[in-house]
Amino acid sequence: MEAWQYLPNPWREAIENLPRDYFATLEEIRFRIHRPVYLYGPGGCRALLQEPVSPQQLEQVLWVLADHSMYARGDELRQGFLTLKGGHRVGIAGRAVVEDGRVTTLTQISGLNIRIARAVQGPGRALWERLQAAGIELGGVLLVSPPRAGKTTLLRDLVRVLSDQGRRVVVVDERSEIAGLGGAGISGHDLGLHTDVLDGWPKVQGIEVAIRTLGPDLVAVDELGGPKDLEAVWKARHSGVGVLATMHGDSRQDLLVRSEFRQVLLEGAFDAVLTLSANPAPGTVREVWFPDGAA
Amino acid sequence: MTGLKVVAALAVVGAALGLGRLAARPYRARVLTLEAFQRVMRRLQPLMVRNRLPLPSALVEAARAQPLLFSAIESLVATLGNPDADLARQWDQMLEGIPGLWEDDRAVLRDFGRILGRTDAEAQQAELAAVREELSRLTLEARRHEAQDGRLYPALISAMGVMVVILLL
Repeated sequence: MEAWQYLPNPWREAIENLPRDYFATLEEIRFRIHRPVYLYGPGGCRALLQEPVSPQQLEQVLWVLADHSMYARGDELRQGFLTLKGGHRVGIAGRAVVEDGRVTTLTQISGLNIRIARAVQGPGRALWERLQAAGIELGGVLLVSPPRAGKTTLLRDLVRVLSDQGRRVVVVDERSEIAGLGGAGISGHDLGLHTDVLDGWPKVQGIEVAIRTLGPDLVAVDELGGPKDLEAVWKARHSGVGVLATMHGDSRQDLLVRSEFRQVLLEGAFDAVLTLSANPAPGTVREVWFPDGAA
Repeated sequence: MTGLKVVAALAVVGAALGLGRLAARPYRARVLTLEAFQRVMRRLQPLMVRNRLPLPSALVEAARAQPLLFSAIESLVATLGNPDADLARQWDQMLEGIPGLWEDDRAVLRDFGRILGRTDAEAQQAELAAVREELSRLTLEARRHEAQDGRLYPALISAMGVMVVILLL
């Protein structure tokens, strides 16, 4: 299901009436209280409708996006997002309620950012052929880019390509963005014939469970963060399991200045690190780096 | 002639008994409907709070074993597929269409429909507990009415039928 189809009117109709070429490249739909809804794409932004969004309308939109089930989305709301069927992510701006130093919920919602997930087929195969040509087999591959540069889209396609080649892949999909699972355990995206999805599992536990119970050749995870994630990646590599992962960053230097990443990279957790760029189009590979030679 | 009189008398008594039962039916229907709602709410609690099922699935699952309410709840859930649907309004319309409920019952359930799904799990649990308590109170009241008025009317109407027969004879 496409992201805008979740929206109530008048916005749903307005998006459906957009020119086809603009619509095809639409990246984000942003709601902010007392402001018009804006659309963002490679060509910049434009107002969808001139009427500003009222607090009640914003609350209604969030409620509809949450499938009328705020109680069921508490864990996501605490982290400031919701994931829709199809892997579309909704970022939520609001006031955090903090208890004992921990965010327990969000109130006074002031903005929503609906990021449209797209399945793109093709770049994964080209990338894999490039890595194979460089002598990389089933090991660790890390995709690095700033937000909106196509990390998750490329990871998804890479998973599909490798899975369709007969490799057993387990996707640990903490935020339901890679598979875009839609309730009944049905993947919203084609992840290949030999892929299992651990939907909603925290990365560390998910990787452990995948290795222990699902016997994968490869584990795929999105957005590595802290040292615990890296430790889980290390465990997977030491268990003979390959890892496809993404993380936020802009360049090789961004990784090397973070001591935990520097150490893991130089110790060989990843055979190849690819930095991606949104220019000229999301998913553009800017640099392929083999950390073996980085020390 | 006597035979005709006996047949007429039996017909009057039979009609009176039927009327009496008809008069008692709303009391019985109220009890059955409230009991069905109580069972739905009891089932809804773990589905929402523990299993965190999305509301449409939780409602259908909770009502599955309640034939009195299932089709109404299933129709309500079908409307939620439309992003323009207003759940509170649809919930009210559903309540209007369910026979057996009295205005007091509808008021309690209407209030519940206003907050259904809108808050976090803890708050939903508290609301479910509150509505179950209210339904429990209303069910007791409905059973009391059924025991009193629900038996009184059939007895009264049947007695009137017998009196009419006596007078006619």
